[in-house]
Parts: sequence; C-alpha cells; structure tokens
Amino acid sequence: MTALLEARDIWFTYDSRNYTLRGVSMEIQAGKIYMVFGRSGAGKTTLLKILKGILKPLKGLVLFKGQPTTSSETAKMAYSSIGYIPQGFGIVSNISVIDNVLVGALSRVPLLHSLLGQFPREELERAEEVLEIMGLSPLKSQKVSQLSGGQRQRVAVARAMMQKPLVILADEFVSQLDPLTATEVLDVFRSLADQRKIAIVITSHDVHLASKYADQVLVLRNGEFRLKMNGGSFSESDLITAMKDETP
Amino acid sequence: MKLRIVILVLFVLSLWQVGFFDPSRIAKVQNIGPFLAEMLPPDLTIMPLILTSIYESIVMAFAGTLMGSALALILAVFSSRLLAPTPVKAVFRTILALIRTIPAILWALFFVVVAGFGPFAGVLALTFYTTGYLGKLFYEAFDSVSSEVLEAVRGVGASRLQQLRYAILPESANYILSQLLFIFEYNVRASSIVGLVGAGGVGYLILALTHSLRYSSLLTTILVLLAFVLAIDLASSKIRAKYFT
Repeated sequence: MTALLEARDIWFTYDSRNYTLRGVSMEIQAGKIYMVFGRSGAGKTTLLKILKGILKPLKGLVLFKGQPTTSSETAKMAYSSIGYIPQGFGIVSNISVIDNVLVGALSRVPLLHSLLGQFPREELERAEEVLEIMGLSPLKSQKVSQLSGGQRQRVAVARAMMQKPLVILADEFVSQLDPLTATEVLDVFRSLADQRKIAIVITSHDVHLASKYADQVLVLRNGEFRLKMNGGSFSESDLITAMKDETP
Repeated sequence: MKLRIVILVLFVLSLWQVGFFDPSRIAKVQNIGPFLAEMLPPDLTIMPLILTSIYESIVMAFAGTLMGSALALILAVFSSRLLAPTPVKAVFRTILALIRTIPAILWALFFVVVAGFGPFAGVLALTFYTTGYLGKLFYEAFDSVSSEVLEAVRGVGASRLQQLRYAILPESANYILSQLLFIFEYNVRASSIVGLVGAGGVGYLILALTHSLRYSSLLTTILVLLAFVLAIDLASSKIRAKYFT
C-alpha cells in the first residue's frame, strides 16, 4: 500500500559539519498514530519540519501519496494537507479561540473576505463543530491569552483539524501536559485516526503513554532511527534503552 | 587618573569655548531678577486664549498621531523582513530613516513655507515626525513576532497578507497601541515646539507673547501647559501600565 507520507533516506545539517538527521526513513499510513521518541537534540523537530516542508533535506526525498515533493504542485498539495503543531503550539494569543480555529481555513477563503474577517457559513459551522469536538465551545469568544496550557493545546489541535488535514504533525505534544490532560488530548487523536483516517505523528521524550496510543513507535538518537516497533510489541524499557543506548 | 584629568580639562575648555568665563556674559545673568519680576504675578485674564491654544495643540497632536501612525503602519509592512522581499524592505527602511532624520521643528519650518502659518502646517509636521518614529518601531515589532506562531499560520497555507492580518498584527497589537499612546503624549509636547515657528497651537501663542514682551501672560501659559502635559503623561502611563504591559 502506498504510504500517505514518506521520508526516504533523509539527511540534514544546520551547520554543514554535524548532521542532525542521517539517512532517516519512515512511512506514514492513513489512520495510524506514530510516536517518535528521542532525547532533546535527537532530531525530532527537524524531522517534523522536513515532513511538513518547512525545511528542505540536504539529501533524500519526501513523498506525498507516492509523489516526490520536489515537484512544486505536489509540495503545495502536501503542505496544505499536513497540519503542523509546533512545540509552543503556535497559536495567536491576542485573538479569540474561534478566530484561531478559523485560521485553519484561511487557504480556502477568498483573500479579501478573509482580510475583512468574513468566513463562509460552512467554514463557521465547521469551526463550531471542531470546537464542540475539542470541548472548547464555551470558551470560543475568549482570548487565547486567558486560557490554560491544556486549553491552548486543544485550540492548536482544533486549528489543525480545521485545515482538513490528512496528516497532523505534533511536536513535543504531550510532554508539557499533566497526565490527565495528555490522556484526553491523545483520546481525541485516537478518534481522529480511527474515524477520520487522519495519520498522526507525535514527537515526545515521555514514553509512558506510548503503549496505549501508538500504532508504531520510533526512537531517534543522534539523527538515526535506532528502533521501530509496532504497537503492543514493545515495552517502556525497550524505548528507554534505545534512547540511552551508547552502542553505535 | 590621567583620563579623569583629560576629561576635566576638555570640560573646562568646552565651557570656555561657549563663553561661560566671559565676564560680560556673567554680568547679564543679573537680568534674571527683573525678568522674573516682570513675570509675576501671572496674568489670569489670558486664560481663555491659553485654553483655546492648548485645545488646538491637542487636536494637532491627535490628528498628527493618527495620520502618522496610519502611514507608519503602511511603510512598516513594506519594511518588515517577514512581509517584504529584501530589495523592497531596504528601500522602505531607507525612506523611514530619511523621514526620521529630520526633527519635528524642521518639518514644521518646511510645511509653514509650503502651506502657510497655522495648525495645518503643524499637523503635517507632526504626521511626518510620527511616521518616521513609529514606522521603525512598528517594523521592529512585526519582525519580533514568534517564529512558531508564523510557522503555524504559514503552515495552514495563509498568504502574506493573511499572515499580517491573523498573526503579525494581533501579536504586535499591544506594543503598537502602547507606542501610539506614547507618541501622542510626545506630540502634545512637540506641538508647542512646532508652534514656535508659526505652525499653530500653544507654541504660536508663546511666540507671540515673547515678541510682545508680555511675560506675566507667558508665565501663565507655561504653567497651564505644564499642568496639561503632566496630566496627559500621567494618564498615558497609567493606561499603558494597565493595558499594555
């Protein structure tokens, strides 16, 4: 089966001396949750930025639905089909919750209408629906700056969902949450994967929730995948060992 | 130690150069007494004229601040590294630097020549000064918006104008409003300076009173102006501290 998104032998460096990623490959299938673990500096954020198309690999290919993103048409299609949630969530703190969610629809709204804040009715209805799913409806008119960390994170997920993505990439997503909120947000991801067939890639350094939610776990160390295992076939200690392992 | 002596010598030399040790000038200091005596008591009969002139100055400051900030916002968009290509950014930053180089009083002289005496020239002078000053602050505010917020908004496929509307402006809004209040406060003071060259407002009144040697009226004008400036400073700093920090 053709992967929805694929990284093939990706090499990347920021300073042309030390490689952040060294020949990394992974396949992302629809409806699956992938959890990428690794210590700080292992290359997790860089990998997500390359999958999203924010960074270009030095060597290797990213393929979207089997087509390389080196073609500008495929790159554009991939870019608009991939929702990206950065570490700090990247939400605009000085506007309301619903305006942040509507940002996810900007590529579909005519420029002038969007600049005047006029969104088509179907987009407004979709935003209401997404807010309902994320449990944010009572907060929709509040400024994001007044929300808690967990609520902000839900806003970031709602914005990504508003984009109608095929893939959501979430950087260090659960690490900053208390265990209960992390479980609630991952439950939402699970249902998005199961019901809407959205592929989800989450990076983290916290291994505790992997066994419950991940369909595949990957451990990145020094820019290389040291472990790839399917859900249920690994233990937390396998992940910790792979993250720590000093053998080449 | 040697450096301190050198600085002291340079300081004394500079005072000497500008006439601080000239006995004929020192003798003139005694004029302060009669001058102050002529100022007292303050002339309260001129109050209606003073209030009208201060009102004109505040209106000039308000209009100059709003027109200048609108122009500054447009120029800042073209000067921001996040929104404009490098050559465009370079051209607009140069334009802003040129506008900023000229002080408000020179703009006032220019517009008095072009548009004649009165508050119209004053408003144009304050508009240009405000544009130069705020334009730089605005593009710096735009450029310091969090790269994560921008990456996320770009990541949904937003165009540059949409990024400006939904990420850059909201994220810089508090800073922009705070600077608007600050420049309004500054423009109220500056409007009395530009008036000195004939560009309307209370400065024009101060100029007229000085030329006609009406020092007691001048003292009243300066005291009332001081009270207004302090009140606006206080209100502005309280609003900024409460809403924009």
